[in-house]
Amino acid sequence: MNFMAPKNAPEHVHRSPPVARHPGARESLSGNKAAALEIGRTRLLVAGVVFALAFTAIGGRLIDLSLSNGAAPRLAQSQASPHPFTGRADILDRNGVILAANVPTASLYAEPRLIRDPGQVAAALEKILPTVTRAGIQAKLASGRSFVWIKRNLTPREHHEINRLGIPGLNFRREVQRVYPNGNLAAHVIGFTNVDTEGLAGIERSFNDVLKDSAAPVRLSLDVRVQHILTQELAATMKEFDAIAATGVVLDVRSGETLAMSSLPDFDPGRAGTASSNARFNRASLGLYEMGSVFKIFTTAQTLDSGTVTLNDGYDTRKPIRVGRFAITDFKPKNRWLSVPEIFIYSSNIGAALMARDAGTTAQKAFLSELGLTRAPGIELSEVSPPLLPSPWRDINTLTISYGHGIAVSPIQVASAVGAVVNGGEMIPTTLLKRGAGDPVSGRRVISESTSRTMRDLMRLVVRQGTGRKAAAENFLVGGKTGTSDKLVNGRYARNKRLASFVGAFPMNDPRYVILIMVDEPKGTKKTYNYATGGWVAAPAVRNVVERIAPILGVMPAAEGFETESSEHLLIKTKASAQQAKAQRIAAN
Amino acid sequence: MGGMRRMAVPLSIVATLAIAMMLFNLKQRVGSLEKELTQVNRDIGDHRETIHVLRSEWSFLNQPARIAEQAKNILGMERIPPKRLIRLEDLPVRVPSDGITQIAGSPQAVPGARVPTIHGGSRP
Repeated sequence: MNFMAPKNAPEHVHRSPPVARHPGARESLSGNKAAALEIGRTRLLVAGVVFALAFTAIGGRLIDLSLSNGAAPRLAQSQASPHPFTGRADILDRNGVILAANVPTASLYAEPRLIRDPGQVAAALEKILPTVTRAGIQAKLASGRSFVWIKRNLTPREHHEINRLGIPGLNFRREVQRVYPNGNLAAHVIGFTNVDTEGLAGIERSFNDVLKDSAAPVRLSLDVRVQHILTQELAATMKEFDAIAATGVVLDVRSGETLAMSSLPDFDPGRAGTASSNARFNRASLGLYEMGSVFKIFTTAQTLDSGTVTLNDGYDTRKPIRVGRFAITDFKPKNRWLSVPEIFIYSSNIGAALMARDAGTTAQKAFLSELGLTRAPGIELSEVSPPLLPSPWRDINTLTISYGHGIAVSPIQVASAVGAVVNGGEMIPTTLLKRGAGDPVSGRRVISESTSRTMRDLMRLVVRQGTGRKAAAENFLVGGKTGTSDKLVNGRYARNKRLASFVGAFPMNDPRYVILIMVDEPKGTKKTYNYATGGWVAAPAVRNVVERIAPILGVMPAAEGFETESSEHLLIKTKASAQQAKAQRIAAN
Repeated sequence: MGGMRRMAVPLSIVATLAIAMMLFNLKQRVGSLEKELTQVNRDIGDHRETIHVLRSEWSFLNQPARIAEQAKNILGMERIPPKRLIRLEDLPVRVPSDGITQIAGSPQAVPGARVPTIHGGSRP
């Protein structure tokens, strides 16, 4: 078929209708005309089909767009982020309470070139803005520059008042301000930012990039209620004993979450610039302390777990241990042979040192390392210190470390390590971030299940009968260990400057929470017969905190008489067997 | 057949005009809806920001120290000693109002009712 139609083809096509009206007339046409007609029809058909298809497609699409609702929600959903973008994400506590947020504010700036009477403007501004001086503003306004800040982040009231003045040349710029609605609470954990909202400390610093890049908030493991109670009790203890500082932590021993971390004195993160470096110092993670007898928890756990000693063993604690010019003595000497549980409960330095000596330096070092006490705490803060370890780690160090001297660690590490001792024997990484309900918790076994059970019993005994009796919170089954250590001042241990601490867990039948409180330089009072030891200072604070936080955390008091002889048998049995062992020794000699 | 052919052209013209008008209408409506959507989205953003600011203020007003102080000063509330804590499930079952006559004597008279205990009696 010839598609290259002859020039006169349209004519034929035009004429074709009359032809078509007479059927059979086609035969009369010459072959040439018939072919042209055929071409025309074919073209018409092709074009028609193409158009029909196109219209069908368009029609179909129209129907699709107008009838199906698929497109509309897609459009609406495009902006459905639930968090407003403020330039920096919020920091929340575990229950969603805002700890830090960016809120829009107005900042006042001036264009001095547009201001005719700087003196008058300065006078007007001085009345509204309490923090600026007239002379200061006047100098700024007279500078002849094109832009000067007068005051950033005005309060809504100041903004309104200045707006009402209607002075040309004074303008506002919308800015965002980092606010900390809970004030001083958890200031050391949250940290703070500079005026350009760049994180300088705490979570604000360690999560700076995350907070800047995403609108989704960072959810911490802290609980503001627990944090508040801990801080309040610390402050009360500090006041009562005229201490210079105090710190405390509450950890969940199963998940490793930090429920509270407090360090006093503290500061307002919104005004961090005016805070002293002493107040900004996070004693819980950055401070390094010789924790004293609290370390006997680790010494006892290690020697029991390795089989170096058993609960039936004991040591003669009558004579101080002399190594070179050092002498290891007991604070309250019992002057007799003590069983292993007694050494722990009455906190005998001599006994602990002898236990550690029998276990050896290598074993002690390895065990403390497994508990994470030989490196910086692994929490999500940049304010952490690696511990001060003896170098080289001699045998004399092993003896003193057994009762917490000659090694300086941060309180948070000690709390984590105690958590591992009581939670069944697994070291769980401590975190400041909230764990999801289904997040797997991966622990590393450090002591056996049964050693952990024994340690719980021993720690419970300390509170029932030993040095920690004042930590006995009513029916909450607190167990723990006291610690009192003299502070090093100019390389010597000062007798009158000490750290009083208590680290405990509750409820001791199935520990959920570890709590550590440490008070720096407490002074004894009349009420405490001038004692300022861990048992007199920190233990009562722990009791107060436990009694207040346990109901919040859903820990119910045990039924009256719930605790029977469950842990006392340790002492009774060992006393009996100790006497037996002693008799055997005498017989052997 | 012939009538149809004559009608085809005007019909298609009418149809085209009708479709064109509908299309124009639709386009206008889409335009105004889009404008509305933008406005709604902007409003949502503003409201979210306001909510955000209000939540910050809520946190500020709910500082535990402040709540504790107001609960004490205004409501006269005080700390609950642990002795007074008991589990919800340890509370005695509520007696239905028509059960008053049955109960008259001792609590044991009502099946299912339990003697209230102070220290959480059902603890293992």
